[in-house]
This record gives sequence, structure tokens and C-alpha cells, in this order.
Amino acid sequence: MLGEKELISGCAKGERAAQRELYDRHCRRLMAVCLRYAKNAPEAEDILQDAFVKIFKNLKTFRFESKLDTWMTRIVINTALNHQRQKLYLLPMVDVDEAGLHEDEKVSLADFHLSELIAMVQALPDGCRVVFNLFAIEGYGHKEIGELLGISEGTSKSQYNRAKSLLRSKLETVKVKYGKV
Amino acid sequence: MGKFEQRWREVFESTEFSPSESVWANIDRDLADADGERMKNRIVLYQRVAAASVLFGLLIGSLGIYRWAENNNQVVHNEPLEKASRSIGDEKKITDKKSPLASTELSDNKDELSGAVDGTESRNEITSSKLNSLIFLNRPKINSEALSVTRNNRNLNEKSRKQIFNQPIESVNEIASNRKINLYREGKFSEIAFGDLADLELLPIPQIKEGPIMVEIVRKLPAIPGAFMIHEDRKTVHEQVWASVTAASGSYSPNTNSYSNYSYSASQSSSGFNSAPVIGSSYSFGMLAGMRVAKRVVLQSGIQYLNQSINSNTNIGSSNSLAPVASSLYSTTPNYPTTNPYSINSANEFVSVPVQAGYLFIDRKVGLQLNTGVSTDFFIRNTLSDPSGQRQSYSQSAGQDSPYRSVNFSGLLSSEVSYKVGSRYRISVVPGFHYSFNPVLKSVSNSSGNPVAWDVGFRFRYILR
Repeated sequence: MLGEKELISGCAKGERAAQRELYDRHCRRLMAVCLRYAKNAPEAEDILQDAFVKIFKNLKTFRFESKLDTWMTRIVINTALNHQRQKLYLLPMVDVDEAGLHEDEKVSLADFHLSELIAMVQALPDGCRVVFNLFAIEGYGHKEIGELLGISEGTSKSQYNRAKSLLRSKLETVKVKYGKV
Repeated sequence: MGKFEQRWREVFESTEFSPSESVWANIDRDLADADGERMKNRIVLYQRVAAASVLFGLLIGSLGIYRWAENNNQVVHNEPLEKASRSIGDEKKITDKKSPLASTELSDNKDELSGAVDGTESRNEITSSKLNSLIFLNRPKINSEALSVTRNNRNLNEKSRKQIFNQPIESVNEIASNRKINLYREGKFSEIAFGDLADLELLPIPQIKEGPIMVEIVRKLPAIPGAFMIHEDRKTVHEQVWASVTAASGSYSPNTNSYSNYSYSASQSSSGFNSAPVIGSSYSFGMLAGMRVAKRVVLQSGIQYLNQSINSNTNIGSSNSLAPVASSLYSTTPNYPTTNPYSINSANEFVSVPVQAGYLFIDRKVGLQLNTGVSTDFFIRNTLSDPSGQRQSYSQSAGQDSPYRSVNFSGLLSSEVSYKVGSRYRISVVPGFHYSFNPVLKSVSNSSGNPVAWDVGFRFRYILR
């Protein structure tokens, strides 16, 4: 089994075996990232495909200044954002009062199957879904998200609060429907 | 970070989903296309280099011809002044020979110049041996100004004219020291040295009134030095026999459907896998020997290694062998095992014996020649390989059981732009075509079509004699 440096070196030289090895090692984790940003699985696969082509083309510029996992994830997220960009009409929304949203501790995500949670995220409106992923999962701040998407910090916050609200109501609906407590 | 975000992050932190197999197939195809694009760009670069070389050759050739013509003109028009002055006796002969009119005018002058002194009819003469020309301004009845040239203050008559032109004169300086000029202006003579003649102001043309004006310029036309002629003859005796090493690379098109057959099953697959073959590449290297059989005709031959390869996509074959792909070439039934689409490289290797005749359009330091001929290509082997390395390469050589022909014949056409370095070497750029007269595969196979290669070569020639 090749070490990471040998693998990167082989990929940079265009060796298809090394590229396949790198793909096999990372495709499942990155597919999960794509699924969160996409509307459905075929769109997620399109994003994954484009992202890996970019990764292989740009691997020679990888300077080992960050972890390879982080670098690849960033490329996948950027590719996903580019896919979404045309659909992103992030209109400024009225800020939802944070205090008005109660933290429902009774609903545990562990009660849900992973595919159910993914489906809930995918069901979010495009703008809400992107902001939710960037803020809640990737850990970006609203200011950074605003700069990344070319929107105001306030819009990012309101989109996130709307995503949060929609997800919470979805969780409660499913919980009631299937009796998950 | 609130609990809400924390819980969602924990869920997705270590999540994994397997993408479908078609994702890798598509990535592989995109990467293969990108590789093909790079190859295309490289070939475009070769083509541009070849075009630039031909243009450069033509430019240099044109420049050489222009300079050669220019030099000839300069020999005629710009003979150095000192040479002309040194042979002023010759000038007299040329003047007498080339310009009978001038002689007539001078002989007529004896009476007319006397008249000029008297203020009657006169004739203007402006002579300058420095300018290597004689200008006669024939103007009857000039009363205002007259210019005459005499020797030792005597009027020019027949006798003195003969003395001037028959006496050998060594140099311009001698002319300046021995001769005086009477300038007749405003009704009186003034004596000046001959050397100051150049400072004399010429009569302005508008002041010359009435009558015809004849201007005759007599130029000295020296012969081309014999050295030039010797040089011309010497050119054709060199470069009779030479040996050269050559290398070339370029594009290759098999012109066959066999490579599409590789992807026969792929085209039927539900994924709609597109398997159009990308452009192939070719390279060769070897040694040649040449000789001149006529002044502008050369013959050359030698031996070369030739490799022609092409990338394609297929889903024929198993997960670890390429043998089914090879057998699909001459199988009549499309009963092949299939697998996921993958890239495949097919390389044909030959030993080639070219025989070419060339015509030399330019045979100087910079050369331009057009070559045409045939080559006999002996098939060595075909190698199928999987660029990803997952499948073992598969080779087939020529023979009775092989689908490949043992001997192939090709037509060759190339141009050769060369530059001679020193007395023994010549380097060349050789863009050319290689057209196979027959398919590489035997007629029993699923293939027809004659391969074509277009390449740019470089040759380094050592001139034996």
C-alpha cells in the first residue's frame, strides 16, 4: 500500500493506478459531503466527479501545508458551491428571532437513520441548505459565509435560522409519524 | 456553537457513502480526454514549429537570393572611387567608345569656346572625373555665363584635347596639382585649381533658357572579379556523400474501425459511455545515408525504428487481462467478455527502411529540399496496455497466426529545411507525411484503412565528402 506522499506523487505524474487508489481511499467520505450539498444522489455524484477531476489536475500544486483530507474537502465544497451558485438566490430575509427558537433536547438525531437525516438536509431550499452546511457542519462563521457566497452576514444568519427551523419541524414531524422519541 | 449544530456535526463527521462505479469511469474518461487534449496541444505546437521552420527557411532563402542580386548590382553601380580615378586613361577610352556624341561635342568646341571668350556663341561643359561622369550641357547662344576647362590656361582646341586624353594621369591629386581651370563668368576669366572643381556651383536649371538640353551620363562598368566566378563553381562540388542521424515525432491516425471495435460493448452499455478514440502519436529514430546523383538530385536511405500508438476506451476484456481485446480484432462474432469501461493503449512497432529521392530547391548554406519515396516497414509487434496498470500488457508479433501483416509499404513525402554548420555538418528540420499503402491488420481482421502519420523530424548530417 502506497504512503500518502508516494500516492500524491504518482497522481501528480498522471499515473492512473495511483489516481484510482486515491479515489478509492477518499470517495466515500467525500460522497457524504456531496450528498449534503446536493439535492439528490445523481447531483452529488456529478459534484464528486468534477471535484476529483479538479483534485487530480491540481494535486501537483498541493504543498503539504494542510492535511490532504482538508484540502480535498475544500475542493469538494467549492465545487459544490459552484454547482449551486446559479441556483442560489439568497434573498435577504427577515431575521428570525434566535430567542424564539427553543432547543428541543428531546429529539435525538441518533433516533434517525443517516439516510433520513441526509434526505432532510437535501429537502431544504438551496440557499438554506448551503448556509446550514457551511455554518453547522463545516464551522464557518456567518461573516465568512457572507464573503464566500457574496451575501450579507444578516442574510446568512436569516438563511441559517430558516434552515434550523425547517429541520426542527421536519424532525418533529418524522418523530410523531414513526413514533421516534 | 449550540447543541443543535454540535449534534448535526457529530452525525455527519464520520459519515461515508459509496458512490456508484460510473463515477470513477467518468473521472477516468475526463482524465483521458484531458491527456488527449494535452497531446493535441503538443501536436499543434509541433505543427507550428514546422510551419515556422518552413517560413523561416523560405525567408532565409528569399533573403539569400535578394542579397545575391543586391551584391551583383552593387558591383556594377558602386565601384570604389579610387579604382575609377586610378584608371582615368580607361575613362577616356570608355568616353570615346561609349559616347561618340561627347567626342563630337568636344571637337566642335574649339570654335565655340573661342566664341565664348568673345562673348558670342558658347557651349557649357561640366566635367568631373571624381564623379566618374561627363555632363555636357548643350546650350547655343549663351551670353551670360560660360564655363570652359582648359589645360595650362590655354583654350581647348583639338591638339590640347588630344594631350589631355592621351597623357596618362596617375591620380586625382596629380590632376589637381597640374591642371588649372579658367572659369568664365560675368564676362571675365578667373583661374582656379582643378581640385576645387567640385566646389563650383552648377548652373541652376531654370536659368538655362531656350534650346534643347542634353544630359549624358557615362558610367564605368567594371567587370565582375574572377574570384566571384570561381566561388560559384566551387559550391556544386561539395556534399556528395553524407551520413545522418534522424529523430521525429508527431501525430498518427490509424484510419481504421478496429479501435472503435474495442468499445463495441461499451457503446451498448446503459451508461452511454462515449468511446471515441483520441488522436494517436508516432515517433521514430534511425540512421540515413545519402548521396548526390545529379547537381540538384539526391538519394537517401537507411534504417529506422518506428512506433505508432493510440489511446482508446473499451469495456471489452476481463479485470486483469487484455487478451480478449486482441482477439476481438479478428473475431467475427461479437462475443466478448465485458467489464467496466477503461482506457487502453495500442502501440505498433516497426523497423522501417526508407528510400527517398530529393530535389534541392536551394543548395547553399541554407538548404531547402523536397523528398519523396517509399519505405518498407517490417512489423515487430503490437502491444496493448492499460494505462491504469490494472491489466497486464498483451503483445502480439507478426507471423502466420498473427492478425498483423509482417511487411507493410508506405509512401513518404517530406520537406527538409537545413543549415550548414562549418564545412562538415548540416542540421535540418524535416516536416513530413508517412502514408501506409496497406492496413496494418490482415484482411481477415475487423479492420480496413491505411494509417497516416504526420511528423516533424530533426536531422544531423555529417558530410563525408
